[in-house]
Amino acid sequence: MTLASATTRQYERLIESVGPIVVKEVRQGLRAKVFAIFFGTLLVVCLSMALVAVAEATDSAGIAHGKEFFGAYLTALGAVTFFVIPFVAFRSMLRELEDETWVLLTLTGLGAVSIVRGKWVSAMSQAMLFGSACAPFVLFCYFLNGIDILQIITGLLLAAGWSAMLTAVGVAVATQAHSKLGRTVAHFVVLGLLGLGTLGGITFCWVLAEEGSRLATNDAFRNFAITIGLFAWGSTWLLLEGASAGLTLPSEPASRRPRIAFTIVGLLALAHGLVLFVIENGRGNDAMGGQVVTSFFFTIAAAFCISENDGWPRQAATGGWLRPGALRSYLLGLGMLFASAALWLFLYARRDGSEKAFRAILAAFAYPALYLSLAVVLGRLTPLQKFGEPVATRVAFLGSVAIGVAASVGLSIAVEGRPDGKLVNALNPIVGLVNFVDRSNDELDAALVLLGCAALLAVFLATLVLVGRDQVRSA
Amino acid sequence: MSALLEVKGLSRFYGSLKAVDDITFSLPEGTILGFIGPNGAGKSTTMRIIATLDVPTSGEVLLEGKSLVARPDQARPLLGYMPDRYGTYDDMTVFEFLDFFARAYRLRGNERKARVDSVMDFAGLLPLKDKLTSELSKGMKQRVALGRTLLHDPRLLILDEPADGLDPRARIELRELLRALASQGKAVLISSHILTELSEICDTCAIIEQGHLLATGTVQEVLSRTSNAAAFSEVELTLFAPGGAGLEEIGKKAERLLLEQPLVTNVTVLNHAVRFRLELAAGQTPSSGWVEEASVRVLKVLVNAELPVTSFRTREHDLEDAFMSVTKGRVQ
Ligand SMILES: Nc1ncnc2c1ncn2[C@@H]1O[C@H](COP(=O)(O)OP(=O)(O)OP(=O)(O)O)[C@@H](O)[C@H]1O
Ligand SMILES: [Mg+2]
Repeated sequence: MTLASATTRQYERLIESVGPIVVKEVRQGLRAKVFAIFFGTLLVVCLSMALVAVAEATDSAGIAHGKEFFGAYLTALGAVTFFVIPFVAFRSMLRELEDETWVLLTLTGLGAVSIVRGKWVSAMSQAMLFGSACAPFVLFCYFLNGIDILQIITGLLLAAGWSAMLTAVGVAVATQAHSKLGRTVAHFVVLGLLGLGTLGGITFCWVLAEEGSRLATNDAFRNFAITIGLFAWGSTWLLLEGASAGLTLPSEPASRRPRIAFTIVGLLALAHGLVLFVIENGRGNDAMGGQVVTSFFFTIAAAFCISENDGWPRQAATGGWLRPGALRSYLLGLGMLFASAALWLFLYARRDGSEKAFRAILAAFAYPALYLSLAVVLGRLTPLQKFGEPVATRVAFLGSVAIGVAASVGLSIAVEGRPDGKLVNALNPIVGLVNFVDRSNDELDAALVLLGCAALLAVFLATLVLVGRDQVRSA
Repeated sequence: MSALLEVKGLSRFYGSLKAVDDITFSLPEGTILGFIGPNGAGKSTTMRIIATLDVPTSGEVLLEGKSLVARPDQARPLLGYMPDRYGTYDDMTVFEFLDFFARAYRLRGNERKARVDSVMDFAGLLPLKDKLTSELSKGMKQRVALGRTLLHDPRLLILDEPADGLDPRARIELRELLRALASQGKAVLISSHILTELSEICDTCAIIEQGHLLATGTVQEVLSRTSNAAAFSEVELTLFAPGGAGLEEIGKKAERLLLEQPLVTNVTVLNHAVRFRLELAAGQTPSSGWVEEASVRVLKVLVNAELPVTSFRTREHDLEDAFMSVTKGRVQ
């Protein structure tokens, strides 16, 4: 056997093992020329910046230019890997839905998980190519002084995580768009999310360039960077599972994997919070902050990741807690929110904090419970049902939050002449929570009781609705 | 012999809309079943359920005796589904497209190459191997789509309106391909809203309307049943005059005679041809063979009057005609 044929065989084996979707995406990607254009542009930009940097460095020897160029390189890389690549992945997945080719793929036995993973992996391998083209230039900043190796590595790692997450956002949004209207809305949603994500990512790159030297000395800054990295990868996992659930046929159980991902990521998030609290020697008010952040994350994850599109009832008959059914997904969401409240209350109680922190911790549990339940109940309304089951609940969630905020603020202005009245904003998930976090007053006790009662009622109604729904399904 | 596919009491409701309502039929190996109905009859819905893409509200579908509703994963390797849209990727060549799906079906190495080649050969796609699918004609895209459904050698083919928009030649070629597949022992379920389009392709057919099965049986049985049930029939006859001399006069005479006959309406004369309609009066129920009886009577009158009739035929009924009269246009 010749060396050449052995290499060909190896090469073919490699191609066989990466999976059909990646092969297809690469074939299409090469033909689409988007890749070549952006790759060329990025290289040209990087090279010209390097020339400028060399010129400046020789002009003004002794002055450190590392920071500016580090920031500039990451900005260029970020523009491509935070925005262009996720958007291309979004378009590619959306076309799969438009032409209903994903249905044909599912029939091959490939499965939603492989389709989603294939899209994400091929987008990420493009991002890797861009990254490796850019990385030498970023490393080159080290020689311009003013920036250390730890900053550079941190910057590249965080950029990779951020790009992974935003690519997952692109793929996940596309999988929610099963109608023409949905696809139009999806374009706006994805442009908004990627725009914000890119802006945030690039801003952080500049913060890292300016302040990054404190990574080694400042614990809080280091922990913040680590938290962002973990958040990015945890969210990537949740988003990819949510995306696969969105692509699942009604004849398939869709809720199993998202539930596992949600549980694991949720428990890791709580563990991370606990560790941070202990090593930073947190106090009562820090527990409040921890609770607000964790429950916000859990709420978004519960609303968008745990699927309600739960497949064929005959499969619902087996499988214990992982078995399909919207009720179990809903209870899991509530359970994780409860776990978060319990952990932070426990930590709060160990380091006695203010009364307002106590109220805020409870409120940060009650608001998500109230609005997730409202979403379940309102999502059954006929006009929303045309979005299809899980999407209807998500639209109802965003809608009811928006209405809750607007109505409370409106009422507050009408009754009290100011937007942030305490009692009238009791059910307002934004102003109300800010009140609980910021202010201390007897009226807030009443507001908390009101909020608690509303949340209990909503949870009761949602449970009733979901029990009925799952019964009809498995009848 | 038990059938390859058995559909039992299948229903699919969308809220209060009964898209498919209690449908039962079966399909043995090596046969082609035409699934016929007007727009919105529930053809695609039924086919999607059989293709494991949707779940029934109630009822059961058995493939090789096993429920495909309970275990869609086990049924998928046995069936090939072609939706009413082609579902090709524009920026891939014919070969790349088929190769991609063959990979998705987990065909590896030489086995995959052989399979893709044999499918391209069967569907006559070899000359188009390196063309982008976006550059293909409708008939060729159709073949690529058909080729895709054959890659994993399924036993049941589900083709949703495959003949839609094809020219007569492409339709005949499609028929040949399907015949060849049936002779290999595959069962084929094919839908259309035109009965005659399927009459040469299918062994049996099932008529569906508003989610209900109206008739099943061989194409001839169903065709005669629906045309008997119709309350009118279009007839065209041609007249002969050497060199066209006196044609106008002959036409006028034919028209006058025809209008004197009972049941004849809407007479139009165009050169050599005369068209008219045999139509029952409102309220009269069509009896079996009334069209034939009326035709014989009219033709006898024309021949007795020594009109030079060279042909006389009732236009073939297509499904629309039948439905217009049978269902009074209750199309959902
Ligand atoms: N996802 C859906 N939601 C609500 N109603 C639907 C849905 N899919 C189909 N229907 C309705 O079910 C009925 C049957 O549709 P179906 O697509 O099966 O008809 P068809 O026989 O294939 O018609 P056509 O010849 O137009 O393809 C129609 O009234 C249609 O509007
Ligand atoms: Mg149809």
